[in-house]
Amino acid sequence: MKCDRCDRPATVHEVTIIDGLKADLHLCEECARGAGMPVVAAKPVQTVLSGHFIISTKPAARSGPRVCAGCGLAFADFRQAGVLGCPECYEAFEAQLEGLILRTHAGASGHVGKHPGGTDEALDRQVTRQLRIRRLLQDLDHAVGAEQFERAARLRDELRSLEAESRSTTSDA
Amino acid sequence: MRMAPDAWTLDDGPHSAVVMTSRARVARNLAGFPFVNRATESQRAEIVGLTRQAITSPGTTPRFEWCDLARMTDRERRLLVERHLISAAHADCDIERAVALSEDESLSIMVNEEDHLRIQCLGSGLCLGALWKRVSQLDDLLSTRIAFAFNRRWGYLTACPTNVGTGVRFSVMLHLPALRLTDEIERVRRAAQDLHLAVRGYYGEGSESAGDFYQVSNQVTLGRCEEELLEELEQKIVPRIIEYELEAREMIERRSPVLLDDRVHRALGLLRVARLLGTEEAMKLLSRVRLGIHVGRIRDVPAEVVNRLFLEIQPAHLHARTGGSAEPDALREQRARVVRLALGAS
Repeated sequence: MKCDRCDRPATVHEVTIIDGLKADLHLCEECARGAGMPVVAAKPVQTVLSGHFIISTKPAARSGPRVCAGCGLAFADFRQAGVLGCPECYEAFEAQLEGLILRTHAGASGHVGKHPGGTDEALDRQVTRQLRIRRLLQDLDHAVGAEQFERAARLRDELRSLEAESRSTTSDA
Repeated sequence: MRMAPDAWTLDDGPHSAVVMTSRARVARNLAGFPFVNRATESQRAEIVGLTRQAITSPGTTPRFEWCDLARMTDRERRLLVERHLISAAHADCDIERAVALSEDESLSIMVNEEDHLRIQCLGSGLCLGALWKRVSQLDDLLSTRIAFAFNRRWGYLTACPTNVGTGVRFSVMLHLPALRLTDEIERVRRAAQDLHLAVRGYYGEGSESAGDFYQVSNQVTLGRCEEELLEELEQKIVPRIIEYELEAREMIERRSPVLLDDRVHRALGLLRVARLLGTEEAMKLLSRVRLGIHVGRIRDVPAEVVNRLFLEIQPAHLHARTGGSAEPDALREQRARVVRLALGAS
């Protein structure tokens, strides 16, 4: 049997039962380590039989949602693919992810180190501005496509002022 | 594109007898967008547009050349993979994606790989501190132009939780022929894994070792700051592995000098006369010649020539250089010719 995430043979098999639903995961040793699964050195007889089996019912998983409201990713899909769908998944699946992150990062429970420049408020403003610029660009496209030139001109002016604001923040930083 | 960037050809970096190259990289994602795997085609195009503007705006040093991967040929993408500037997955997928390269190719930024941005710096020898400084400066600059996904608890948010936190990966490409010859390599591999380090082959994730090269990198990215992760790898762990390798080389020289001489000179002889060479065979023989040079047994071949050959014998580089047929047999013949020429044989 091949690893669910690469072409190597699967030697670690996890059967998870959440709310009565069964989810299988078959990984090679390296991917299993990467996913924070406990991998113990196999004894020969175990190797000959079928690698490692981990069977768990995860009580913590019951308290978390099954789907991220931000991107619609189901937690079961994350278990299969190993990648989340959007930044919001970290909050949506926090209860389920916590244990996995702890195991992967040698028991670390929070971030230490760099953070984006400036204060959190400045970052929030920057995110909001970025999202508004995105929406305006989309609206501008539609307006031009629909030949609504007066509206397009207004949107363009608004966009210019936001971009100028963004540039002045950048030069302050 | 240069035939071989400095990081590969120079043999003057610290501890270059054992450390071929070092690499520092960070993973970043734009706030307000889904990760690459979940983004729509138009969102991916938007991410490419926003990052292109941020990277190529005036005031960015060094200047970057923007390469639109979707519009490059497969052969051009393979060249980038062979010199470790993009991953194989980034080359092969079929979405809007790009890579920005500094002129000397020491800095590269992959756009829309697993994460929206992967900023990396590559250098010769053990030089993680200097590389990290460059990556971090570029990261700071870009973070004033685009908002990165970040939260207080988990730090920089990445598509895969194995990269969350600092999003930083430090790695070194180690040449360990003596530890391989003395069968000590498995012990090193196990010890590294116990220290939460990943040990991979020459071509990165999922690859086996070729030419006795091993990539060692941190697996933990959360709960420890960048400098701490850097210091542990650069000042504690890698120096110990270098020490083991040098001790193993000394032991072989002391106990079996004739066997060592035979191995390295036989490899050089074969490379100088062979008319057909496969990549794997060439890597194995070049590894022995590199060992011979660094233990002072081979004196008429500069280390830079061998370092460059490790890159030039890869299929896409070979094809780009000779422009001949890309059929495997033709490539084997071209590979042998390129090697003979570089090693001063007819």
